[in-house]
Amino acid sequence: MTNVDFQWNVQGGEASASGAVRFDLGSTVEGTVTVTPQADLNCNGIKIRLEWHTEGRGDRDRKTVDEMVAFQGVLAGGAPAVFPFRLTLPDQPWSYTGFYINILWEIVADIDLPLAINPKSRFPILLRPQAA
Amino acid sequence: MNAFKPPAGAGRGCLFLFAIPWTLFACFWTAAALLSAVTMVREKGFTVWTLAFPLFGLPFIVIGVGMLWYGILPWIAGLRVSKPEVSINNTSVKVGDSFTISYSQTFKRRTEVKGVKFSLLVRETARYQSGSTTTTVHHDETAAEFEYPGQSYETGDVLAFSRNMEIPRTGMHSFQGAHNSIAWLLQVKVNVAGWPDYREGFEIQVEPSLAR
Repeated sequence: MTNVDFQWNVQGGEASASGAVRFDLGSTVEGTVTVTPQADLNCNGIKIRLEWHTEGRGDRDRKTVDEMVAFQGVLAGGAPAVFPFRLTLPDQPWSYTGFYINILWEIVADIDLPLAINPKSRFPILLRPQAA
Repeated sequence: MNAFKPPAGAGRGCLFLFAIPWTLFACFWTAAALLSAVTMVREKGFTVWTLAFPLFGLPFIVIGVGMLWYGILPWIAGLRVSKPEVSINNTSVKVGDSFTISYSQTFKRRTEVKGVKFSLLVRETARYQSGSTTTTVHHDETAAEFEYPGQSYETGDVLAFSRNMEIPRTGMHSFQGAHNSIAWLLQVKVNVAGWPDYREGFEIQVEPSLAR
């Protein structure tokens, strides 16, 4: 298993009661993810995705709504590499916590490695309009 | 005005069709076992085991009759009241929106109504597979409900009224995934004295935007 440290810096949105950052429908999520591998990594690409999935009793539904390839090549071991991203949120589905169904949004940084398990990091967000 | 179509109730119809051969076979099997038991009693006398086979068939008949009853219940309930017509004054309902529901239902016969209950609820439906079995579960959360008082209706009388309702601002829009769904439903239950309750459900499509 490749050891990689991820640091998220997400701008915009506003803090919610649950601690996650809330974003309005159709808004833009901007920020950076800092990737620090312990050893040199020859990666096919670092993909940053905006996706939602369901959790709960039912089988999982999921969808990637936006994706960008932030980097391709060799990541130097021990050297932090900063990758900016800018992703656009759609207007649905809203984040939801129910009895059988939860809808969760997240930004995922995925390092695509050849013939190895991809190191990943997830940053949860809330997609919901301000109710009050 | 926007008219709703009630969700198709295919489940009961399928169950009714399935219950017909089930019950017929159960009756046939039990009758054959009973005939065989009578012959056995005549030839060899009564033993405890003589009734074992006919008694084994009885639960299957009871289950069959139960399924038939469940299948035709809406039809029996509909003998006294016609299908209601429900419409709302909003063609596009958003989260937080208020809307007026207009309800009208004609009575086919003289009917004593104990009360009419309306519920606005959000229904979560989750489907999951375990081995080769697919299971679907529902959970209903009531957002609002009100009752219309009961009274006597003559043949041709119409129960009609309008009511204001609201999708809560903290609520969720309608969602349809491959395995999970969230739907807003208006459920109506007409409690008829000495008769099966008339029940009907209508889906309200709630758009993913917040009312101003």
